[in-house]
Amino acid sequence: METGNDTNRTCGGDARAWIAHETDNVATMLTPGTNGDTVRLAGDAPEDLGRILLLESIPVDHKVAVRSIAPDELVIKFGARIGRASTAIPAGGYVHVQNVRSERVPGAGR
Amino acid sequence: MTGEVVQGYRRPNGEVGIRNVLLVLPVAQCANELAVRCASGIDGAFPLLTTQPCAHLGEDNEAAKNCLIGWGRNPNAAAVLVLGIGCDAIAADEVADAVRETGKPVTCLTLDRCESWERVVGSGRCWLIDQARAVRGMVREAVDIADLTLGIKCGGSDATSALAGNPAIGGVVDRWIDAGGTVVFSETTELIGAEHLLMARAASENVRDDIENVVTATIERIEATGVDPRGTQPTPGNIRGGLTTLEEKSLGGVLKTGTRPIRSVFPWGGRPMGPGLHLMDCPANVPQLLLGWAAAGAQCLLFSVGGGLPARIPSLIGTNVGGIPLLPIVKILSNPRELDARAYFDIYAGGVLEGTETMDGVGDRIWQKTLATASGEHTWLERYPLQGIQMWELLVRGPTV
Repeated sequence: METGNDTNRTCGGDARAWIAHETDNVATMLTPGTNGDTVRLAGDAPEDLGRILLLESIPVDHKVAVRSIAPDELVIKFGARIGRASTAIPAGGYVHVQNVRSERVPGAGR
Repeated sequence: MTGEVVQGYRRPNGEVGIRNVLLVLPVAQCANELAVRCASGIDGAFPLLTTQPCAHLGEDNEAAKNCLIGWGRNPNAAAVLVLGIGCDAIAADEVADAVRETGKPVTCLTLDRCESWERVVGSGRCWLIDQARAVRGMVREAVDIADLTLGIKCGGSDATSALAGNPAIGGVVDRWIDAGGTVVFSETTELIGAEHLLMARAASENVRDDIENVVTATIERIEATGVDPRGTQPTPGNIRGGLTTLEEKSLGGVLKTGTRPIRSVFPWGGRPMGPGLHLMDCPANVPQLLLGWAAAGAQCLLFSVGGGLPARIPSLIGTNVGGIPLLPIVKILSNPRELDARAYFDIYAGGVLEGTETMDGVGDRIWQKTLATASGEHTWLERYPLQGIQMWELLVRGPTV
């Protein structure tokens, strides 16, 4: 039984991520990815988004930006806002507590 | 008739059961042993044991009484034996009389009216044996799913349940409601951060206010313990699992409610009025939720699990007996990495993420399994050989004396 480490990851290039809604600017990694991997997007991905080049390593289940996100721009997942970017996030960047703040938890970093 | 027909048991008051449970209902903990002894070895008899003491007050006793009546009235109960001592905080007669209004067979036995403990057990067993014989003669007939109420719940959630199982359930919920059925979601604590989305779906201003009020009251109750519910969510484990904000976590859960308007908000122990989507105000604690859905008259529950350790429990997280027979549960797994755990589930939804199945395809399998369950097909939990007895924890909001 696997625990946190996914042994299915494909080295040298191909990772997969899931877009829950066509308006999302983030996708959820279905496999872990490392810097330089190409991420194939599945789910409700709009046609202009085919593949994303990963700019950093991202664990499985964590999020990758599929478009560049400006500071203070809304982060959209499931077609709804899940927070705001606290810094600029390039497409292919890792989206998590280090660069997103909650709109519902005032003052918290997340 | 909407055309969506299942085979169910029509009760005397017109409601529809999908199981024939001989429900043994002690009104207080002191009567739990009576219930176990009465039900022991009798086919279909189930003692619903709770933590109801004499030491609860006002609204908690009222809610517990509503639950007892609601369980008795649940259409999956074919006959109901109410048991008490005679000095109970909730009068057994009141419960029995309210359940009797359904027209189903009900009897009430209390120690104070019988000669002895053993007499209560003997009389109760005789009555249940007669009822078991009567139930064997009942036949299923074609009924409309408009007569059925579904509960929806997620637990052991991870990133995958929000991407596969929950949205697939959301599609089933929309379809169920469009066919005239009723759906009840709950877990008020899990709505914090997504309440604005639900309020936007309220069917009226009153419902909008009710949603806001139950979420606010929940936040205040948690804050009264010195904890900031917003500052502790998502949990460190959630963050390790990739969830970034409270709203992301809450949204993932809310996806299973589909897109239809929210018709009402009702309290734990209550029952939704009319078809459509309703919110039951209850925390996300599995035993209390199951009790609440059973009291609300729900006949079936869809339970979505992500992955990890919760997926590897063959029974049901939060219980040691796999739930309450009054409420058959369809278990749905999302995480493709939980290969060994798939055997513990009725539906594997992760094929969506693996690219082997569409969301509509998974939704259709959930739909078909739910209809089949309603027509009598057993779920995984109904087939699993469960061990043990559970004392069901009631929802208590006030002080105990």
